[in-house]
Amino acid sequence: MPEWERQIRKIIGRLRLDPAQEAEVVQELVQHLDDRYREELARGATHAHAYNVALGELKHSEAQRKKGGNIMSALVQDIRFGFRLIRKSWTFSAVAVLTLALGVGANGAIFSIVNAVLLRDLPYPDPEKLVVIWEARPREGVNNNVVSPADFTDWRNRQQVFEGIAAYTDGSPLDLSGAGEPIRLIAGNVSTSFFKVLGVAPAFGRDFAQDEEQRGRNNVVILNHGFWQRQFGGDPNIIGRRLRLGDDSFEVIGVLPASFKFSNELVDLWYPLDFTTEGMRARFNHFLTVYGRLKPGVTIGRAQQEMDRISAQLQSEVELQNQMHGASVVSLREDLTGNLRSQLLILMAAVGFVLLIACVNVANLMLSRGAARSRELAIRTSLGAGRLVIVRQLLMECLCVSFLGALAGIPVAMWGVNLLQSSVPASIPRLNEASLDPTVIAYMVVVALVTGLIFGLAPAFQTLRLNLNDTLKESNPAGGASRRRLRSSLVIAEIALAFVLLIGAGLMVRSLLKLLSVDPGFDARNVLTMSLAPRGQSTPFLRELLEKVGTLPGVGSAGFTSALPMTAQDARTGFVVEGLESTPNNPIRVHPRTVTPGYFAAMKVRLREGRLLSKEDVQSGDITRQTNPVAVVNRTAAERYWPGQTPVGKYIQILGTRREVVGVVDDVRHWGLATPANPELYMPGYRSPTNLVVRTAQDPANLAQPVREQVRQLAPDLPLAAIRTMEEVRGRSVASPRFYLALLGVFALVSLVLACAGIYGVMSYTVHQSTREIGIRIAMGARPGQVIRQFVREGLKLIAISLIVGGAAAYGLTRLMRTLLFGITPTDPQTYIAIAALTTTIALVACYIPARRAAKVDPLTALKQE
Amino acid sequence: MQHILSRMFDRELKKGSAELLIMSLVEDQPRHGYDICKRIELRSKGALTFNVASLYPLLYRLERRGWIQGRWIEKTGRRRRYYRLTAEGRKVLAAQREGWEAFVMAIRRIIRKENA
Repeated sequence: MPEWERQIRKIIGRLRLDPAQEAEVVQELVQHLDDRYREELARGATHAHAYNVALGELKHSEAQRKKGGNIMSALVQDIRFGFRLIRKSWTFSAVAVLTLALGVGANGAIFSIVNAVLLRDLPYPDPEKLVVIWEARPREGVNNNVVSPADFTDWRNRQQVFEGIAAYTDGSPLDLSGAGEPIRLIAGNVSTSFFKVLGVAPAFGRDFAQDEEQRGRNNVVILNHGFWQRQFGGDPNIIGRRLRLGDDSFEVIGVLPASFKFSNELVDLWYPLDFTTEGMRARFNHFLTVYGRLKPGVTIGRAQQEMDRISAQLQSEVELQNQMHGASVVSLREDLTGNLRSQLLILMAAVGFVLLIACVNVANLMLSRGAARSRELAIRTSLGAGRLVIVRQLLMECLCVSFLGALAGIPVAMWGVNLLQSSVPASIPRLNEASLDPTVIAYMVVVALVTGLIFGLAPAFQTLRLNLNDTLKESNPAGGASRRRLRSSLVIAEIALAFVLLIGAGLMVRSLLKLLSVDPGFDARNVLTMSLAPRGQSTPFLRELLEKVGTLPGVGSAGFTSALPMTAQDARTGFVVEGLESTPNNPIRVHPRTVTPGYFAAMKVRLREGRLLSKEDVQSGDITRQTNPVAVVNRTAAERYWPGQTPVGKYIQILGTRREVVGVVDDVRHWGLATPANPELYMPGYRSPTNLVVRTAQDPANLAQPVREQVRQLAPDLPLAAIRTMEEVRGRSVASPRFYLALLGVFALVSLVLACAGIYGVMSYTVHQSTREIGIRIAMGARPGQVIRQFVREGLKLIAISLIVGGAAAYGLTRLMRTLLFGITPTDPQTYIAIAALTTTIALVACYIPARRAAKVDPLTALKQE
Repeated sequence: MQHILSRMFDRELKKGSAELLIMSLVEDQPRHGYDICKRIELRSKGALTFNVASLYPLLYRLERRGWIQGRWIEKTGRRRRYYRLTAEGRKVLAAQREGWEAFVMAIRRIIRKENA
C-alpha cells in the first residue's frame, strides 16, 4: 500500500494543526485514499495509475473552482453564501446588524443635516453667483456690519460687477386689521430689485417695479405663499386686494411661489423700502443687509476689488461718516453657514467615532466567530483553496452584514432626523430641509461598505494567518495569544474612542453648567412678558394698562421696557458724557432703553448706587415737559465712562436731552448669558413698541389670560405677541449649547455602552480560554480573590493604555470645540480627570463580571475539559 | 452531450443540494466518507461525483453544525470514521427534503410541455 500519510501531511502540515486533530484528519483521509486505490486496482489498473488517481482526489475541486468560471459568478456565489451564513447564525448576525444600524443610522441622520445645511445648493438659480456685501470696519474688528441706506444707494449706482444688488431689512412688526382677528405680522422691507437679484419671480401677480421705492408708491405688498394660504385660504383673487397694515393701506400685487425660502423664515409679506425719507439718505443709520448677484465671469475676488474701489471713493468724499469704512463680499452660502461649519463638522466627527466603535465591536464579534469556523476554512485551504478566494469570501460575508446594517440604519436615520428637527435651536438655517434624499442614502451605503471592509479585513487576515493553529487548540492555554492580542488592541481602540467622545460631552456639560451659573443680572422666575405696539398716542393707553395690570391678583410689580433682555431687541447710539472726549478709537456709545420704574422691580435688577427711577420721573412721559430729566446707567457704562468715580450726579446728553445720572444698576446679560454686558442706559418713559414685564407670586403662565383680557378691554384691536415667561426667554438663549450637549452626550453614551460590551467580550473570551489554567491554580490553592485580581489587573492594563491613547487624541481634537465652549478651555484638567475616573470605573465593572465567573470555576470540571 | 449534461448537473446540483445528499445517505445507517462518495456516484449513475477535496470540508461543516456525528469504528481490521445522522440533523433533513421536493415539483410544472 502506498504511503499516503506523507503526501497528506505535506499539504496539511503547512497548517501546523494541533497534533491530535491533525492525526485524525490524516487518518481519515488515508483511509479514503486507500479505498480509492484498492478500487482502481480491482478494476485492473496498474499500481502507478491507481496511485495517481487516488492522489488526484487531494487536489481537485477547490483548485478548479478558482480557475473556472468568471469572477462575477464567483462573487455572486460568495454573496449568496454570505447571506446563507447570516441566516444560519442569526443571533450573531442580529447583534452585528443592529450595532451597525445604530452607527450607520446616526451617521445618516447627522449627514442629512450637514447635507441640507452645508452641501445642498441654496434654493435660488445659480446660487454660486449670490453674495452678501457687508460693511467692513477693520479697525474695530468688524467685517459683517449692516449697511447704511446712503452707502447702499451709492454702491448700487457705482458698481459694475453685479447684475444687481438688493437691500433687505426686517421691517417693524405690522398689525393686520380688518381681516378677521387682528394679528401681528412680520414684514420684510426690501429694495425693489430684491427678488430679481435672488432670481425668484412671483408665482402670480407681479414683482415690484423700480419706481416703487418712494413714499406714496411703496404701498404694495408681495405675500409669502405660506401666509397667503394661512390667512387668506389661498384665495386666487387676492391680487389687487387692499390690506390694512398698521396705519396704512397696501395693495397686494403678487404671491411668491411655495418653493421660495429666505433665511428669515418668519417673514409673512414684503414691501419696498422708501428711499426718499430723511433717514434713508443718512449714513449713520446702519440696518440693511445687502445681497448681490455676480455678473457672468466675475469672481468674488474681482467683486471685492470693485467694492474696495467704491469704498475708497466714498471715504474721500464723505470723510466724517465713512472714515475707515470698507466693504466685504462673501458668498451667500458661506455667510449662512460660516459659524455652523465647524460645529457640524464636530458632530460629524463624533458620530464617525460612534461608527468606528460599532465597527470595532463587529470586528470583535467576527473574530470570535472566526474561531469557530477556522476548522472548515483551514481544511479548505489545505485542500487547495487559494487564500484570495477565502479572503474574498470572508469580505463578502462582512459586506452582506454591513449591507443589512445600512438597510436597518435607514429607519434609525429617519427617526434621528425627525428628532433633530424637533429639538434643534432655530439658529441653524435650512435645517427643516434635511431629509433622507438620494445623496444621504448614497452616503449611508458608502459608509456601510467602507465599514464592512474595515471590520472584515482584520478578522479575514487574522483567520488566514492563524488558521487552525490556535483555534483547534482551544484547550491549550497558550493558544489564541495572537488572536487575543488583536482583540485587545481593538478593545483599546474602542475605549479610547469612547473616552474622546466622553471628554467632548463632559466639556459641554461643564461649559453649560458654567453658562447656567452666570448671573444674568435679573431674576427670571415668575415673570411673564409680552410685546405690544400700540399706535398713535400710546402713552395714556400704556399707563392705564400698567395700572390695571398692577391691580390683578397675584401681580407683584409690572413695568415696560423698550428692549427685553435676550430677545435681540436692541438699539445703540452715540451720546455725550460731559467732561469726556469721544475719539474714533474710543467712541462713546450706549444702548438706550426706555423703561417705567416698575421694570427694575419686576425683573429684580439690582441697584448698586444712587436711586432707581421713580414715578415722578415719568410724570408726563413727555421728556420735554420734565423739569429735570434723569437716567440710570449700568455698571459697565459707569466703569467705562466714569472710571474711578461715581456717575451719580453727573450729566450726559443723549438724543438731544441733557440728563442727570441718578443711579447705577448691575449689568444685565442683555445679549445672552455668554456675552458680557455693554454700556446700557435706562431712561424713564413710555414708548411703542414695548414689552410688558410682570412679576407674579404664582405660575406666570396663569397670568397670561387675565392680562390679555385687560388689553382687550382697553384696545380691542391691539394684538399681543411673544407671550412668554422670562424663563422661556432665558432658556432659548442656551438652546444651542443644550442641543450640542444632548447630541454629544447621546453619542458618548452609546459609544461607552459599545466599548463596555467590547471589553466584556474580550475578558469573557480570555476567561473561557484560561479555564484550565484557572482550574489548576484553584486546585493548587489559589483563592478566588487572587483569580479575580489577576483578570481585573489584565483589564486595568487595557483600560490604562486606552486612556493614554484616548487622552492624547482628545487633547488634539477637543481644541476644535473651542467655539462651542464657554468659560473653560478644551483641555480642562478637571473634565479629563473626572471622565477618566468614570470610564475606568465602568470599564472595570465590565471586567469584573467575567473575572468573578472565573473565580467560580470548578477545578474538576476545568481539568476534565481537556 | 451526456458529458456536458453531467458536468452541468454536477456543478449546479452540488452547490445547493450536497448537504441533502449526504444527510440522506447517512439517514438509515452510519457510513464512512468513501462509502458516501461511492454511493453518490453510483446512484447518480456517475452524474455526480465527490472526492476528498469536496466531500470532507462538507462533512466537517455538517458535523460542526451538529447535524451529523462522526465516530471511529473498527470493522474487518480497518479503523474508519463513520458518520450518522443526529436528531437535529433528522429534522433538518426532513425540512430540506420537503423543500427540495417542492422545488422539483415547481420546476417540473414549469418545464412540462404545454400541449398536454
